[in-house]
Amino acid sequence: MRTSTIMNLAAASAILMGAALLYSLYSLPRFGSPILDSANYILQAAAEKTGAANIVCSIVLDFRGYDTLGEATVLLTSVLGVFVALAGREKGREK
Amino acid sequence: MMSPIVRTSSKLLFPFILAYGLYIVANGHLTPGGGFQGGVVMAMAFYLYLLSFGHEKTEKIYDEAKLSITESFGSLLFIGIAFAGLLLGFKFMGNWLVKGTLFDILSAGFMLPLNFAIGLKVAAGVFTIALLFVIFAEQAPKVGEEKTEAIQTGEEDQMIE
Repeated sequence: MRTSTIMNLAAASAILMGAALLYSLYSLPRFGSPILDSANYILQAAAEKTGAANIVCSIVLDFRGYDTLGEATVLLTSVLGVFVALAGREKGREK
Repeated sequence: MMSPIVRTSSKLLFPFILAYGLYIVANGHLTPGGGFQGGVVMAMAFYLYLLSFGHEKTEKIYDEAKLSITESFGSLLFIGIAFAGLLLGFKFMGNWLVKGTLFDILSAGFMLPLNFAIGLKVAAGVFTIALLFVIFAEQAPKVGEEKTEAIQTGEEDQMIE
């Protein structure tokens, strides 16, 4: 396909997606309505279910512990990325 | 290599910063803090040593191999604690230690060892990144030296041809 056709298609699909997202605004809860169900459950049950006084820590390590595993992996990957990006440091040391 | 005042005071401050970082990690389930925040503070103790002594003296004690082993050990400890829950009958990452009374230091199940594993990993990782940047910066050519002039004369020759 030519480039102009592809760009026309991309613009049309972007406008369609924008219209669909705007339509979904009607089903959001009112501004200032009470807290979400999941957040309410965590606030009530964190102290007795986990035994931790710090609710943020209980969310990070107990209710959503799987995401912390992903975060630790991202740290590992970032150190690897710095090793690769600064590969020129070896040339300087061998001199 | 900085002046003797900076070097002496950084040697004096090193254990206090490390102890403060360990305090933040260990009280992660009681006060604000936890593994990530305390890990960065612990890495800053080593970074103070690196800045005042230069990277060659620091590499004799903490070279990249030791740091890499420490970071991998922290990550494996995290996965091991999470996996032990699976072997003991809970789900993967289920809380399998005793939940003591609230506000005790030994409460909240497995959060204390998990915080220590994350603190170890973050400290080693952040210090490795800092060490790599310092090594790279000390070998970059400075502005106005012969290397940049040589590049300019080479381009001129090719353009004339």
